[in-house]
Amino acid sequence: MKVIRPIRSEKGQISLEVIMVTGLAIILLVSFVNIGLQREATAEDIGETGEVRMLGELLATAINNVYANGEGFSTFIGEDKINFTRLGNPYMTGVVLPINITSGNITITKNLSKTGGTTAWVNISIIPSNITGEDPTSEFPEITIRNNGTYIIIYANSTNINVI
Amino acid sequence: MNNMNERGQVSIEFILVAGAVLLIAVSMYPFAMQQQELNKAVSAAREGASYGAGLRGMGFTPQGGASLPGGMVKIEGMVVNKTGTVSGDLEEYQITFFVYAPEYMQGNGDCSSAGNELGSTIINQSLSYIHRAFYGNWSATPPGSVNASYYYFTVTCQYIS
Repeated sequence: MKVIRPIRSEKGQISLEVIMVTGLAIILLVSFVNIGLQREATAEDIGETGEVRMLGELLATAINNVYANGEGFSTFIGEDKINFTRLGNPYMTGVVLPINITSGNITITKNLSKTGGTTAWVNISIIPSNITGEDPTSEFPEITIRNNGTYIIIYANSTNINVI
Repeated sequence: MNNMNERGQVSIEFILVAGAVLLIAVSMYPFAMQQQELNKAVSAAREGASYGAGLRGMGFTPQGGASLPGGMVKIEGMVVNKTGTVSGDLEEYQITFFVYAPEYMQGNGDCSSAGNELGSTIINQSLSYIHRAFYGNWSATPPGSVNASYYYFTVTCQYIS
């Protein structure tokens, strides 16, 4: 039986084509990965700023509710809703703790080092002006918000929430 | 079976075609690099501007800036213009963003003026992102323009209703 062999000039032809096509594919892939990674970082940071804003809105809603319901009303916000370890981690949400509460405002500052900035802060308005902070107790664990008729009392560690 | 005269025919053709392709690639290289530089800047600028708009839209105030209430801020479009200005070996490309924002966020209405809070945030973020795209790090202070190999980039913005 006669064996047909490729002529000498075609030797290595397929290898060369494979190298060229693979090279081109790698260049395209790397370009897309670069674009994707950059976009992901920005999207992540925008998401985190949104998260910070929602945190402020959650606290503001709780304080306003306690104020509106009158003397003796209290509400508890658990760690499942506000986790300060996660919030304070600059590689996670990047909140600069403590969160400051003044009469009429909650001010939250976010670390922006991931996107080239320093920090940015957001103010969220609240209704009550008579607000005070106390250390958490076994009766009122962190974060409990209570209306005692005169003040809205926020039970939280001052390293986490600072009532000024 | 191939004639002796045809041996190596395919190799020669391949070398000729590959040579021609290489010649085209080499001669196109500077133009490709210029286009790549422009694309990189435009992509980074757009991303930075969106980030700045997002920050202000959510009511955030960057350090050193003045507070603005949050609202719907949107980058509606952008144009890139070759201004004709040359600085050294670099030509200026100006990137202009068209920004939709509620009137109470527009300040004096001149998005590009230094005192315009929303405009400044968008421009600064955009330039910071361009700087990072070319230098691989964030600028310590917001740059006024960014120099690349062929062009330098500036950013402005305009409010639209």
